[in-house]
Amino acid sequence: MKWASPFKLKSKGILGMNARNFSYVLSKNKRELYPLVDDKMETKRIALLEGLSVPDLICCLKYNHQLKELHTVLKDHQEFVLKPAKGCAGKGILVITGRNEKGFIKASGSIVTFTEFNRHVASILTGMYSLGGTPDTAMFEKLVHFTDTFNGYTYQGVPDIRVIIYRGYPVMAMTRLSTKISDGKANLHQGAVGVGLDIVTGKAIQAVQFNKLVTKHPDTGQSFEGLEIPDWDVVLKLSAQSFDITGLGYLGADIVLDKARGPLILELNARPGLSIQIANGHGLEKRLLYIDSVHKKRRNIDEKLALVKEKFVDLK
Amino acid sequence: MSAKAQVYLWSLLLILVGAGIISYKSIQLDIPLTHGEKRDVWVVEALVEFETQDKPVKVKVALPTYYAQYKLLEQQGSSNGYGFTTEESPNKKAVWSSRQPPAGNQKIYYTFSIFETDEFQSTKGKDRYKFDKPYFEPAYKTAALSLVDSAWKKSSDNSTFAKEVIRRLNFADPDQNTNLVRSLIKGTYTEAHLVRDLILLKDVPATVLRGLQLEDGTRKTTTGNYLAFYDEKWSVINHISGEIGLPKDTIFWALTSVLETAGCTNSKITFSMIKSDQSAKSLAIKNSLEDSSPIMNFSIFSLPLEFQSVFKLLLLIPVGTLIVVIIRNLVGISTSGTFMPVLLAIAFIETSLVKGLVVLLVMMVLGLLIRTYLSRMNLLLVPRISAVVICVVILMAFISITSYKMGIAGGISVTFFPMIIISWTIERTSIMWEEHGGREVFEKMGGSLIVSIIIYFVMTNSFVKYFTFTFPEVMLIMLAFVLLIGVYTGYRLTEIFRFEPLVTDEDIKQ
Repeated sequence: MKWASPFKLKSKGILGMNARNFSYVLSKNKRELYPLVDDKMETKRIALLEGLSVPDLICCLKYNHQLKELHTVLKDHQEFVLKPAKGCAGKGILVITGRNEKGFIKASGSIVTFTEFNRHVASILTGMYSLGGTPDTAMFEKLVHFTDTFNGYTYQGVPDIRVIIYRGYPVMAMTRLSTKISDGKANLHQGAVGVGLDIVTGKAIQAVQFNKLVTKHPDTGQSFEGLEIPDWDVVLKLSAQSFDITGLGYLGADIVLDKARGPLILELNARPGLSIQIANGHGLEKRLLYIDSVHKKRRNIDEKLALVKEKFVDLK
Repeated sequence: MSAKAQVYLWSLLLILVGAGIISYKSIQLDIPLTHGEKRDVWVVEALVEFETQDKPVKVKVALPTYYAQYKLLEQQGSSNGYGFTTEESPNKKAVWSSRQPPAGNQKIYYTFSIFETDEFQSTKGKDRYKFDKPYFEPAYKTAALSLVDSAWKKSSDNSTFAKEVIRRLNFADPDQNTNLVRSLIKGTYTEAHLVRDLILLKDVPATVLRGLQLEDGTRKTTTGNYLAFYDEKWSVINHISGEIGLPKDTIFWALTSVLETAGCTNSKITFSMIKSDQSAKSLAIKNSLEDSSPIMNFSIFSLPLEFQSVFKLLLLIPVGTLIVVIIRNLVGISTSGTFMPVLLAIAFIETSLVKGLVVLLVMMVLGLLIRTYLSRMNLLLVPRISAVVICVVILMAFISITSYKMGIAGGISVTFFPMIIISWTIERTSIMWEEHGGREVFEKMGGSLIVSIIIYFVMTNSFVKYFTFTFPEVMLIMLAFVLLIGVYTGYRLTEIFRFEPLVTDEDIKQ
């Protein structure tokens, strides 16, 4: 197993887990603000208050006895996404793309019977997927039809764009593409491909799977070289605004690109992971320290983005 | 003051206080840092025999006063019918008395135990022992003086003088004077007394001490005479060989007779003794408890024994948590459930490792099977976990009974596992299996098990057990370390592997 000297890592500005927790998550994110991002219903509410784009909510469910009404509501929807409001790491999410007389059809093509579906909803409500096992809400959202940009770059699953926002400045971005190994999940340590995105241009830098560089998608064979996110400025602006609605100094915004509506905030994360550094091929710390040195001056969103675009071309 | 500075300050303070108390206990109270040290403990049993005479009896047995490097540990007198008291001054004495003693030959036992310490009693001070002018009858005095005078001339100080006197007394072909002087040795007036009186003639302070040679397994031995003289300090000299220095394993009675009796005849005292090993720890602790050192007065050792054994385990838990902190924050291996490994390790301590592991795995596998079936029944979360708890209890009973019937003793130890923890672990594992598949389960559970085995080995290490119990102050030091790790922002061990591609990529590009 190859290893790197900690001094070398430090000199390259790579952020470690302890440093992330101590210097950024603990000191920049106030504990009382966590519910805003840990509860996706809450995130949606505050995003809508400020007019930020989010996937449309069909309905939400808090109590078991509402199950009957739920099915009358869902009758009008062929496809939707069921997720626990307080779920983490994509746990408990069910993507439904159709239905037949037996039950719902999942994105993978398999069928969830109505009984299984009801049980899944009940599990969500009792808090099986929530942090700390607290009672939860089941959310039903309209399915996002993602743009053609990712055609050939993903095996099932929804490709999302993760942007790290520090004190309201976007500092690093990547997109996570599910693979056969990751079982359609966009979770890097399960084998999804992370593609680092140039924070200035939205173009792919490099791609990694299991911490190793890859040049093309392992299932589709598509080369990552030409990958470029459309409407990059909109993505950056939308993700930067998540700071304004939450007040969290260090957060990760997960953005999906809807064919019709453009970039939408899928969810926010108060403890974004560090793999983004590997996907980008450089560390976070120098950019974070730079923001620390300039954040005192008040800037509006456009000024912030302009500063990022000007300074982060070379700052790695 | 910044949060980090506060942590550093507290840690420094905690380490200083902790290390300070530990070194005080170790150096000042003589509590050894490892439990391995054993010290010789002599259990001496004195047997006093006497005949009563139909009048009140009083028997006094003196404890050795000049212990040299020995300290008294315990004393105990059997009283059978006699009033038993102790006297403190001028010497420690055990006193038996009776107004109407039973007739005939009487036996009283008195036991005391002593152990060796490194402390030497100071023997400076001329007045430590009484000494009188010697008396020689005129016929002998001239002979004695001439012997002493010639020895005096050949010597430079008190030590050489004493040696010279002894040498002259023991010449192979003694002259007339010597023979005359030697003829004084008779009955209780021994050679030691003679040498003492000869030395005293030149005003060199000298005295005869009663001493007892300690020898393992000796029975019914009596005290002997030892000669001590003063030359800047009191020293014992062998009155035959002239060798100066304390004889090995010997205790002394000074300024007192070993046995004093009143109202009886034919009294005598004999000693039997055995040597036993005792851990130096218990000796030092007993010792300092008696000295009532304030630190020991407020220590776990002042609790009743049964509570002490509770603390024995309790004090090991911080060690376990410290290891978890190190493994999670410095090494970077995540465990399923933060302190589950500690709880498992505690269970392993009760069950022994191999048995515990087997039982745990059996229980996990059966529990997971049951849990999988329960999940098909569409139960809500809390009832489902309760169902798992009940099934785990049934499993425990089942495993215990089956293994007992089959003659496997270890199965009963299953009850030592915290079953709520086991139930939650089963629940979490089951969810992990559904969501992430078996591989993830084996990685996480395997990691947790390895961590708990590491903790088990540390917690059962005899040095760790001894040290945490004897020096609970080490908890302050552990607290300091946990605080320091809490503000450690450097890389974790796993991260230097994880982020390695970031460094090599750059090298390739350059």
